[in-house]
Amino acid sequence: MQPLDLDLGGIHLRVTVDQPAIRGHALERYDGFFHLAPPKQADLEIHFRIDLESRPHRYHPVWVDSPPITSRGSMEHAWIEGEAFSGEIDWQRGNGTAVIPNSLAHLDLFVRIALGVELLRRRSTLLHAAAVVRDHFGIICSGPSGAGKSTIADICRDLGLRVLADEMVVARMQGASCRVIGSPFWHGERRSAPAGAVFILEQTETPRIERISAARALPRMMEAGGAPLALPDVQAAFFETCGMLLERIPAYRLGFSKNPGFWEVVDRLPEFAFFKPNTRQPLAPSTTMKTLPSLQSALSSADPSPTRPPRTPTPQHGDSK
Amino acid sequence: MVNRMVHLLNDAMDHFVPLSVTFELTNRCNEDCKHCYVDLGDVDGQLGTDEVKRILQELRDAGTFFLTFSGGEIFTRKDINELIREARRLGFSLRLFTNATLMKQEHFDLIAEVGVTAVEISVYAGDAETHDGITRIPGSHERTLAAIRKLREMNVHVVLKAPILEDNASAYASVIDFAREVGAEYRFDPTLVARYDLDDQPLCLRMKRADLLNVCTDPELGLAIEPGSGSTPDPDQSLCATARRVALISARGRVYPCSQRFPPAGSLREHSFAEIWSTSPLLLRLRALSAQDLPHCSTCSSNSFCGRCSLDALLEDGDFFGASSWACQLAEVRQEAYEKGGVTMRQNLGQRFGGITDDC
Repeated sequence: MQPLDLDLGGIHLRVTVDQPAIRGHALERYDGFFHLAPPKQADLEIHFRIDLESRPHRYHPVWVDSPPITSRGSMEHAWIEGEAFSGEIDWQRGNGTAVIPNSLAHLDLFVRIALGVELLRRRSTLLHAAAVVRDHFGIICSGPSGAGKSTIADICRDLGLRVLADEMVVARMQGASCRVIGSPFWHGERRSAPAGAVFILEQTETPRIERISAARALPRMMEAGGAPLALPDVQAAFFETCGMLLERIPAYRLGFSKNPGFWEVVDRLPEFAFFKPNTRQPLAPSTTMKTLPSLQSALSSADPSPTRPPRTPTPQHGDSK
Repeated sequence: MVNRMVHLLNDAMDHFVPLSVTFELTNRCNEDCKHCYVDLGDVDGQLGTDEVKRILQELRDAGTFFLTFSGGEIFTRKDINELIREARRLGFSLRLFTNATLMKQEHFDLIAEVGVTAVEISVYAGDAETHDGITRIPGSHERTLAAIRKLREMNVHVVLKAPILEDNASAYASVIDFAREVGAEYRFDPTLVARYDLDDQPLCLRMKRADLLNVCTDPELGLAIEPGSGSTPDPDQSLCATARRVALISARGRVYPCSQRFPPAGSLREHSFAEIWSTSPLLLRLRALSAQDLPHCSTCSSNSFCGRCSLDALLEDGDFFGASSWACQLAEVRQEAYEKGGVTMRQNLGQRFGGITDDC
């Protein structure tokens, strides 16, 4: 059966599925995230064998949720098991296999684990966060379940802002900077933006924003979760990568209620206000150039500009001290 | 030498080392140049001697090597000798930006004693009338040229430099003649920028297109940029050295990404340079940007002729990520100049490093 070549966070993941039905669900699930011109060699290849007899407790063919799992191994090679499914992924060799029920949730789970560890191996990570694009910058909205990630994504979508992802987003380190890349988890776009801020979400009656240090933001990001496996080296790599991320992006605690009013307080911060298009009156050289003769005349007079404070040259032997 | 310099600059870009810092020691000036971008009326609260010395130490600790003392006019400071001596003691490659009119024997002696990388002096024309018309100080041309001769007699590396505006568009050739006569380097720039207080008066002094084309086709100036391979630029390439490898410190001790037309990243009276450099949200945001974040410019066919500045794009055209009308105009003229042929790339620029400079 034709493989599915996924482009997730810049990682080329090739998925093969031996059942047409779930392959069809996967085609819909990852719509927009397929490699348009896949190279011959993928970064990682996962083969899924579907056990049609298997019916785990929370079975549903397309419902996407995270089934509970256990794992052993390391970031190089891990075995993953749960109710009615099992698999192994060898990141060192770039391949893996899994036997799963006829359930998109299980396929999605393995894809996220494979991607998450692969990213960590490349000093990047999948975060449990929504991400939106505001004035060209990617804003990562982090928080545990219930903190408001989906809410904030919906609010931003209604405002016409681009939503890169509403549940899990890729933070990709590039040298000493970082880009935010959309993911299909749960809904998103295959686009990226320069990382502009991390918002640690909390719900408050009135919107407020406060800059917090990396040291204060890191535990909150860890609380939000997102490490793909509970293995010690994976957890350590996730911790380290989140730390690297927070060295590269300013973090803020954002209190918001379920309305778009929080952007007003955000936009008051100079580092946000500065990049807004047309927030200041643009200078107009093309216009003023046309008035050059009169301006030259004005410049040769005592006070060259009505907006300019009088400038008195310092005396030749002046002293600034 | 060139390869090592390129490696050094690239390494600083990649690792955010503030290799090149411009330190504006004062907003005071004894001249009143009509195109000047500095807010010269704003002279209160400048850093004292001990504060500047502390900051120099912090810059050294942060990895700064190329240091420029600028102003205003640096020789209006009574303590300038002490500051030059301290900067050299700390091992900076030191450039002095000055009009040189206030330089006294003690200054010449100190520069000869401690050594500086260059003294860069503003000379707008070979004739006094044009030069003094721009500085708006009669007699400034004579004093400046006298200081240049003296520095050259002492074998100090001198760079004559000036923006080319309408007033001196036909007068720069005489500066080149003078530079050759005294053995100085020269450098001209057609770009004028808005003042720090966002007054756009300097923009009105920019050359008209015909003059711009003339200076860009003049091989003596090396202002035309040789086109690249014509391929699309690397999308991951950073926009410029702003906030990555360069920084500016104002006379009041504020840190800016490259120009005071940005908001300040922090005050050195409240925080150390290292703290501001590594945690300022403005600097962190600027560092995240790359060529792919310019939707219009990343696919422009004139890309290889362009020297776009995002700050100009914001201030003059209203969008930090959009096209800069000035850069577009200049790119168009450069392309035309190149197609006319006979223009060599930056042949007179950055001669010390074979065309590579530590500018942004």
